[in-house]
Amino acid sequence: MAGQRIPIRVGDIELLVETVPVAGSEPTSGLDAARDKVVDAYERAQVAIVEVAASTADTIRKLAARTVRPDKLEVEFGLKFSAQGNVIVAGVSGEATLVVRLSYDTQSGKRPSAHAASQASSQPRALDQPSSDERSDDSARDQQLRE
Amino acid sequence: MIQREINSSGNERVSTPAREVPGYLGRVLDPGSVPAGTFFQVEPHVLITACHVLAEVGAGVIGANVRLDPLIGGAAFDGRVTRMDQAHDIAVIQAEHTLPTSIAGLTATEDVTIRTDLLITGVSTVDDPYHAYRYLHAVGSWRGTTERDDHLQLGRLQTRDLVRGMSGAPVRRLVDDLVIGMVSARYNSVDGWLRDSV
Repeated sequence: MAGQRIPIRVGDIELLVETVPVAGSEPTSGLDAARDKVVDAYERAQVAIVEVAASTADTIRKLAARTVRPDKLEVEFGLKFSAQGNVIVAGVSGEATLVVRLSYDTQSGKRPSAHAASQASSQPRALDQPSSDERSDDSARDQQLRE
Repeated sequence: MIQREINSSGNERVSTPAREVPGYLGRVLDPGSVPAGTFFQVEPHVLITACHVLAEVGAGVIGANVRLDPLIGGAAFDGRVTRMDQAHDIAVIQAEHTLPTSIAGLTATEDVTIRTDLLITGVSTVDDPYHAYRYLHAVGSWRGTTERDDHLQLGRLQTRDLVRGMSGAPVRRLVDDLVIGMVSARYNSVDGWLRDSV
């Protein structure tokens, strides 16, 4: 079952946003109320992205407290919209809805102490900026937790 | 509007010409004259539509004025909302103008036999960027009644042809054109279960 494509304006550009169908009753009136709902959903999606990033940073802090702070943490997820204005967390890679990658640099052998980790977590590094140690991909071990 | 023929075996054949739009059908318009839904005339000056259609055009309260026009084409006219049953999504409009005809009649929804052939004609909002379709017909089959949330009696039919804009349209029994209900909503199925339910 294909979703509707609804035109919405983002800044100065009009985009066609493809919605995903969700189960349930839907009034069959003719006006395109879905457009306003998707605009609202788009704005809420931006809030969702910030919240997920904040939650990820919190996860790093918890890992640091257990002296297993990863050198790099990636969270991958997709967002879709329904015509009813729902924001849906959707899979972007294989069948996983949410992909979490924890990377440890085994070559350097560093494993921060709880104290060091605590200091590090007070100034978290941007998740999309790998350290020089992380650029050696063959030395990193990726662990993917799929939910 | 309904053609009846008796064949050599004595059986009655009933048909509705696909290009014919009953004169008792009309469109509920928003302030920009964009059709939001369908209405039907039960007797001169007395029109029925869905409450949520009126709400979408800013006329979702008793006493509100609403702009209307005939589905078959013609000048727009005004009506005033006089009754609303929000639970059943049914509203009554008193119109200053009368349409050429009224419905053949009403019949009790609960008395309709399962699998009875039905016809819905109404406003059609079709996902076609380059064309607009003033009306469409949706042929369906009766699937009986149900009770929603332990208090609301609803009828259900199965059709693949229903489109947005048909809210407020009468559900007519094909054999005699009697109205057995009014379109309010469809059920969207994602997994295929209960698909094409209205």
